[in-house]
Amino acid sequence: MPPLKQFAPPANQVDLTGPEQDNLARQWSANVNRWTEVAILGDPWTSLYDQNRTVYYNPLTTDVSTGSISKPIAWTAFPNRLLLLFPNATFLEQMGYAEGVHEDGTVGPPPHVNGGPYRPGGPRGWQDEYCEWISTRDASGKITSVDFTCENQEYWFSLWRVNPNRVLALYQQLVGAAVTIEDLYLRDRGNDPVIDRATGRPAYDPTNRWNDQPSAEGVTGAVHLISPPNTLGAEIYLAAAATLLREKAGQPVTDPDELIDCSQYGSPGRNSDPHIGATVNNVILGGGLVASLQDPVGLYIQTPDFGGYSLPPDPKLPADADVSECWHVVRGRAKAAGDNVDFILHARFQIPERWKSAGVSFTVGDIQINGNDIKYGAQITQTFQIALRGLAVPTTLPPQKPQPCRAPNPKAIPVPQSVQDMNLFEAGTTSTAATLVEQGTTVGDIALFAANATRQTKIVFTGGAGVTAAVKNFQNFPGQGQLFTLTVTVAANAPLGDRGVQLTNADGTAGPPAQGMLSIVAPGTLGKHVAPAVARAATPVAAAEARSEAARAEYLAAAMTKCLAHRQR
Amino acid sequence: MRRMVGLVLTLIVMVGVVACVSDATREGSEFQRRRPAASPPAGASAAPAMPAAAPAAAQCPDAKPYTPYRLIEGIDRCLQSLSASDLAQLQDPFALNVLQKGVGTPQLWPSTVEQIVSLVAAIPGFGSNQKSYMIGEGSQIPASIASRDARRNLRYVITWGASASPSVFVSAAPTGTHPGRPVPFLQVIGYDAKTNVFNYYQYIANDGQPTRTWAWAGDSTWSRQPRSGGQGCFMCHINGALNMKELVPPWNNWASPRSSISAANIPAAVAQDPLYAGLSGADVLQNNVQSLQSRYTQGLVASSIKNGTVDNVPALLRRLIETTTINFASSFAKPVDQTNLQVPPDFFLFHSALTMPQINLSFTVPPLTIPRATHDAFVTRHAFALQQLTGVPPRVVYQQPGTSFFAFFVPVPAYEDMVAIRELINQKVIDANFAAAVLLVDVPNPIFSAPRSSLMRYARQIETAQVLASGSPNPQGVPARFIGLVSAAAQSQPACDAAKLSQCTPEQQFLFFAGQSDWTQRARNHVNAYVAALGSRIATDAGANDYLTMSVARQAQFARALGIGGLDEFSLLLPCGDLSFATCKRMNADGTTTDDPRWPSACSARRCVLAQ
Repeated sequence: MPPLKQFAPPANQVDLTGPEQDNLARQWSANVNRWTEVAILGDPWTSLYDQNRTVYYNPLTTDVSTGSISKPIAWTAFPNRLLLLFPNATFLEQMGYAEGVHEDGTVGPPPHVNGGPYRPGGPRGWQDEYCEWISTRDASGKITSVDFTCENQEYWFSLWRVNPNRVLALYQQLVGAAVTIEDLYLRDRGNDPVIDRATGRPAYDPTNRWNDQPSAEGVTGAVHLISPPNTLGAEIYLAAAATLLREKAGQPVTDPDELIDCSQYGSPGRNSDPHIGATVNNVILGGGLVASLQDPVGLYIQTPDFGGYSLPPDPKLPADADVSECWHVVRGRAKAAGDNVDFILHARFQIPERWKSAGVSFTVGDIQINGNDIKYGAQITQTFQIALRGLAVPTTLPPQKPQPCRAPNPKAIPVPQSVQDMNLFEAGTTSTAATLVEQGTTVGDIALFAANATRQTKIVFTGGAGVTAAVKNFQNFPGQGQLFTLTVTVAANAPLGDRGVQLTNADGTAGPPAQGMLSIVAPGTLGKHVAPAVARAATPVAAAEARSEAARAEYLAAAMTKCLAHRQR
Repeated sequence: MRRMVGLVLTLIVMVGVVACVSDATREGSEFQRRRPAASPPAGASAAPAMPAAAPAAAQCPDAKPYTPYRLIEGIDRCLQSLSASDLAQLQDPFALNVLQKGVGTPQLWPSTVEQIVSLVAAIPGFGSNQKSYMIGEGSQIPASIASRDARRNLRYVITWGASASPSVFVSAAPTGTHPGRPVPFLQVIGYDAKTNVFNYYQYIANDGQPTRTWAWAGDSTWSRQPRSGGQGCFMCHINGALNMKELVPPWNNWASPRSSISAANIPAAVAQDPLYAGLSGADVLQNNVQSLQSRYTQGLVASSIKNGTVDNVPALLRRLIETTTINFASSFAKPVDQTNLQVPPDFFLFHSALTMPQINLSFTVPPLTIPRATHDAFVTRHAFALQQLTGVPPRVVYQQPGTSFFAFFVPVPAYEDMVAIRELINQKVIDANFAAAVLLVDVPNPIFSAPRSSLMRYARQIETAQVLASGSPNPQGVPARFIGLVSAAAQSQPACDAAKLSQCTPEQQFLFFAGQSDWTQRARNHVNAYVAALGSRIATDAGANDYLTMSVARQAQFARALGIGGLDEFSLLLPCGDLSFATCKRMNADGTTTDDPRWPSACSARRCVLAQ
């Protein structure tokens, strides 16, 4: 097939109609293209031997019409690191750690490791196999349903920007009717909604109360992935990094964990990252192929193996009842003829209406897996996989010469980490979407977060003329990076499209531009909507405290930590 | 099928161990069959008796091509014709869709992996659920040690089903490992969900004859027959169900999320094979196997209960009391990293059974970690190596200094035995207290425990019993009757000090927990004292070395265990070395290890063969 015209949304999902769907599809494709280009570029700033990953191709520019090989890569959804870190725990304790609902009745992250909090941190941080879930329980604590998601949050950022009411409707479908639009707003230190300049409306908070980890306070849901490592951009970056062949002391490096250590992608001990990386690397090692993720790029839940499930006796249970009826595909779809994976984005395990209508009295907690009552949704995650698909195509490129392991670049080259509106950055948004600026406008308060930069660093937007930046403010956060506050001016005749950012230090040290940081759009594209009147949350931070400079610095440092946790490299 | 089984038993008069076509064939040259060669160690009361080996078989006639046969090891001396009506009784998907349709038709009678894949994938719904896996005991040995084409015992497991739960399993060498030659072995398991049995098939010829064809090697029920149990396929499928001895992470020799089988270390033809390109990880197969082991065992226990009466009590209790089979577990430490060795807790006690929800004990287990340097020094000191051997007497094809890919690779209690214990409780044959009381006898030795196994003498006195009623003890149930028998026996035993429980008789240890209202607290106290001692001792160099030595003893004990040692199929499974001791080792309640007089001269590491 010729190069793709556009990346399709995960599972070819259609959440909108007409022009809105077209707009969403364009935004989504731009996201995937950006992640792909970033992944191919690698890290030419802070690392040696980790750039120009040309054996990872961009499907928008590569003909894959002949000889392509689709390769599903699947791994068990249960977070494996819990098994590694708590080998002496009981089965139910391990399940509870994964669930965030513990045997001792408490809720929250797994126990500390080596005296420190369990990492990755953040809501559902420990569910780090690209699958997150929330169990719903009845008054007696018995599970009545479990929701599983593998949807990436960037899709939901895009959907929100196009139509927040559709996001609300989906939340109400996936979590409950009690969800309000205000619940989904990103909020600042004073608990006011953060307005997204691109839309003129409040920005989206992916870790809102309805998409959170279990808590004692009340109901929440699993709408999309929120664990910091569970981003699709990171997955693309990892796959591209794994296409580089490595050697150590003259011997090829092929072991999954050794590759992770050598190439420094992903996290060792997971089911997912080492397996994905080693599989991609092994495809390239075979020779004569280049690889990419197959469209529609996404992470997909696979149908469980129900072989070990058993239903409790119930005279009302229909004679032809099968436990697989409890598995409901809510978003995405199961595989069709010719597919090599299921394209399930969100699934729910619950008693089907047919059984309820027949008078069945048991619930999910009475069903057994391998002889054990389902006490935790985590038990179900042990019976299914998450999958993505690679697509390898023949290449005429010369055989790749293995490189040494990735190493720190001894030269301190300035590197742009992110460009965002300051209010979004300060509020800790995890969106990686490019910042949009209209032709013929000037925008103040753009945050450029960088590393190895100084106050004197020269900032240039590349990839097209007509974009200039003036530094309004500079702050250095030792150990984290530097934060520039910019005023960006875009000429009326500046070409439309993405821009990179290149930083040059006063001594002339510079790396290549970081791609896709800014995007120039036509006049009238942005901010058409008027921000609605919104209520503050019930427990606002004291305004004086929230707006003090010390508090802001602390807030910014936290935002940087969050940014680094979610960045692809 | 039951009728046919009866018919076979009636008609077959000639008995002998004619052909072991288990996985063991893979070690030898093509088509040759290895006979069980182990002889029982003196005093090995834990192991079941193995039928005496039969004299060498007389010549059997050549088989008719494209014709189904039956060859149940221990029963059949030669391939026996499988009539159309017998074949029709085999109702698993492989029999229904391949064998029954392919009789007499060469193109429908598969003789290669690729033909099987083509035929089974064509079963409606099966093609999209095909998965392939790879295992090889030499798969982690780099090409710098052994060339890509060197024998690494590579084989595929390929699975299909109408859903994500597979019902057809193929085990075969990749075609690329034997270019231009027939497939060395081709084995299929078909699961018949209606009757809850696994049917076993092999593509095989009579000894010394040229024609290979498909033979039914029995179903799960034959694993429990005196003559066929432990023979042929049931050397590995000991309890009749699926077997994956490296069942749990990190799956020492499998392609898995923890370790890939690199294209750089296998024949180029295999690296280009679509089945290799499409490999799934062992984590997926683990789930499949555990699911079907659970389902099979649930059915097995249920089939023993009729109208509230439990039949076959001794056979059921054997899964709790003895070591019927094993799985392997290990640390996650690889040669390429420098991480310390986290010893799997099931090495020290049957932790996964004692803490499963049905028993629900929990213990304060300290870190059970051996420093990497201690391990590496131990391996060097005893000259451990992995050797690929061939021929008789064996000679070295290649070798690699060191030990298993994942360090501390040891036999541990089998998942399928844990499932059996779970089902005995779930189906009210026994209760949690009874199960725990048995498992806590000689708790430091979760496998190959002669004291615990000695309790089988009481199980054998209870052929039938009643299921337990909820909420009240049943004097006709297994626990009450078993406790009664043990109590009677214990009355004549000298009193012992409960504070030194491990020095008491097995009966006294059992009674210390069985039927006691405070048994959970007693269990916690007993085990917590033991694991605390382990924690203290493993932190010392001497203790860590003791446990490393113990791990070698357990490996050797496994390899020599009657009925279980058949799982030791390849020289590369376990390392050789110079460590030798007069007897096997046992773990003590104080965390020390001592000689086990019940296993004399049986537990030295396999001596390395001198490389030429």
